[in-house]
Amino acid sequence: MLSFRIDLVPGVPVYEQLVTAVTRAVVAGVLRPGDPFPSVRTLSQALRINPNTAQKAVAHLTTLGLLQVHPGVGTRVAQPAAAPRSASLAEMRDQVSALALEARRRGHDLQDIQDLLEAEWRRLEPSTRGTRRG
Amino acid sequence: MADLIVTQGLGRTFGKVVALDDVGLHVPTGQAVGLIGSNGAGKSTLLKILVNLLPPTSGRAELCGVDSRRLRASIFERVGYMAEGQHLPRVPDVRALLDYCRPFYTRWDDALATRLMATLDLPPGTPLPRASRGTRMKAALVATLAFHPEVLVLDEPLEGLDPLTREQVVDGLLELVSAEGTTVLLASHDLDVLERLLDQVAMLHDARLVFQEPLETLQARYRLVELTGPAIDATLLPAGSLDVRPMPDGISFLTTSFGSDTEVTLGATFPGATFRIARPALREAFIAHARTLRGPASTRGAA
Repeated sequence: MLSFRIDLVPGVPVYEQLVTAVTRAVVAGVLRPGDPFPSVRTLSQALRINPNTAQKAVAHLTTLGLLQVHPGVGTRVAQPAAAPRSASLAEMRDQVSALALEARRRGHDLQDIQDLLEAEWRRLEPSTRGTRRG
Repeated sequence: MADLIVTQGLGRTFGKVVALDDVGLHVPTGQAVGLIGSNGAGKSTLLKILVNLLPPTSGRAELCGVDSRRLRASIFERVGYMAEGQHLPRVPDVRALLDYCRPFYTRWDDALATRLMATLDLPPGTPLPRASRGTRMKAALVATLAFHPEVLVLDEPLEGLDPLTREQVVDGLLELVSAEGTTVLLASHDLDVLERLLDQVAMLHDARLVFQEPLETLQARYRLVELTGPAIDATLLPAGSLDVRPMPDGISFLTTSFGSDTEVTLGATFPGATFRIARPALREAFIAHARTLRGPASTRGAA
């Protein structure tokens, strides 16, 4: 069994769904720094997905800094960076700017979006291990 | 590593009918490719040429690095092939089928066969004469996978099966593929149930290869769009818009080039219009795609 929860839905790339589920589990504290992360083979067999897809997701999560591959030992959940890189906020600005544009085009006001953002933010708050919906 | 399945300029005619025209398909080692296309697009012909049930008229096909016309029987220790509506030997039940097949393969694995039967919900005592299509397909699949083939060539393994049986068959395939990274070429219309299995999709239409592309980039660029508003002019739609159809107060279409700027572009092109964008089920997307290719105004390679 996997220590994080994932329900694959059709229509969305499996690789994206896996990256999102693991990111969510790390942010919510279901997976903690130093925890062992399943091998590509274990992942593909447990989720019944193509091993190439599992490999791609693990590689991407490694690039994001969420997982660390230790040769000969296995993959583990990475220690979070001490402080976010300064470039990180600039990258977020692009996504926030797209969100603001789309919200205004649809005619929502700022308060609606702030409420939505806050609700989603709270949903990701670390909780007791295992009780959080993946 | 060399690709285990390759065709180059592959052509086949039956009298005046062109079944395959200059098809260049590659299945990289360890990848699973789904071959889609309408009936008569040439899928079965391509798979039969690969396993030397048919010779090509032009070009060539290679399986495991060997020209298909020079394949020896020994290659079928490494290749699992299932024809459409696979014929089974006359045996009373599943156990007898496996007893029949076992001596042909040095790498036959009874433990794997047992796991597959559990995954497929197919007890060894299941009688085979007069069994349903689904039961016969599951039995054929166990016999095709239990010898650890490196390559699978499967023609419509899900055709005519109910939804539960289709899921079981895909789970059965993944029992082997998820553990061993088997190379797979599989013809099917049922892409949605195959999402967990496939790396790439190749589309044949009218004997030609329209595209071969990773599944995730296809999923990223296909969207269904519904545009509603006053006086929508369909001729302004961006390139790569397929299957444009009228709706009350607007039009719907399939875009094959969705990107981060699609919404902005549509908003600028059709001021005052409202639009809804949804991910299509892959099956619907390809039906729309095939419909456009067949239509009078179509151009080849519109993808």
